[in-house]
Amino acid sequence: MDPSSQVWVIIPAHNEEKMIGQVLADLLQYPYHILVVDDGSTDQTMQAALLYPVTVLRHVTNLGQGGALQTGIRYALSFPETRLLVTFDADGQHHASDLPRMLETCLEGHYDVVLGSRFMETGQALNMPVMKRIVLKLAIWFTRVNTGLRLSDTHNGLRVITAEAAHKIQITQNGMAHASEILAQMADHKMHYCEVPVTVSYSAYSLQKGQSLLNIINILWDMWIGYMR
Amino acid sequence: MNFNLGQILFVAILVFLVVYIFLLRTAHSDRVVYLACALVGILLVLAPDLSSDIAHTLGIGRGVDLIIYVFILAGLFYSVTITSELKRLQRQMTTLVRQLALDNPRQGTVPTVENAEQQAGTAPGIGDSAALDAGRGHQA
Repeated sequence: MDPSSQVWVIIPAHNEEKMIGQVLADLLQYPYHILVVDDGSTDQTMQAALLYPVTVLRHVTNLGQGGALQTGIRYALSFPETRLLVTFDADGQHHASDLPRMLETCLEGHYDVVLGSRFMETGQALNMPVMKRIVLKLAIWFTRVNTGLRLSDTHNGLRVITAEAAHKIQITQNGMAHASEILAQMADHKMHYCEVPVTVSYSAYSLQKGQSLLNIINILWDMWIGYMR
Repeated sequence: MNFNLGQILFVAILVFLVVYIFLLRTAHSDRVVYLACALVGILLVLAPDLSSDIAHTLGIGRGVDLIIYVFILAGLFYSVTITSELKRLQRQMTTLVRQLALDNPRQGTVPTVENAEQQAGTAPGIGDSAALDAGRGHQA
């Protein structure tokens, strides 16, 4: 069986009509299955994605990136031949050319999860604002305290997860706290993981679409609420 | 430092509230608390002097002060139950939205010369049956 047909790239997208075409064209150079989860966009994101040979699932209302990822994971896992899942951002900050190396690393090293890192020696964060760097470094420290995972980059949307590991990970945080939630569950299940250097490019578009720094408060709040009964 | 009985009691109640929120809470236990609040309220209306007596015993000035403190605690408790209820609603909505999405996968088209013209005009939309039919069946 062709191993590349066992790979699903999951792209949560919310109001990304301008960028999604570019992202899909970049990914379609590779023979992977591509799944766009249109998270209740109010623009033409779904129509723009359907111009490419990809699968599109649409949330009738906006749940958040975590909610969209979990929907995508459920769909990809419904095919028994699925071996590897990739999470990929829709705003154009990731590069499809990083994928083959990540997938190879995952299979050869028998890892459960391979995380993209923009802060490893050969990784790159192009045009990253200073404040963003500070906040991400804080997040790395927070993850170390919270989960015990010693990572160089904790909130990177580019990941490879094996089907077996994805079955164990249940994202309940619909919002942006899902990134911390995935790491916490990886730690709970004592998953075998590694980091691979990747390039993350910041553009005016991705910065405007991306997380505002104040969102760190929302994320901590969501995590706190998440522990409530 | 000396603490009076009321201070110790209220700190204990607040600590218990946190434990309750994260470990003990059930929808059933909430109702027991509400019922207890109602009974205490009735008792205080029927015996107005009781609140003053309790306040003095606890080292709190007036009975009215005691009632204000208890009211603040009850307000906190109420906001906790509402937040939890919102969380439950959000979970239900997530299940619903997710299932709708999974039941209706759409398949994009490979751009060809023939359909390029059509795509330039009208992109396949929600009502586009061709896009729907081409969707892979979801195996739940």
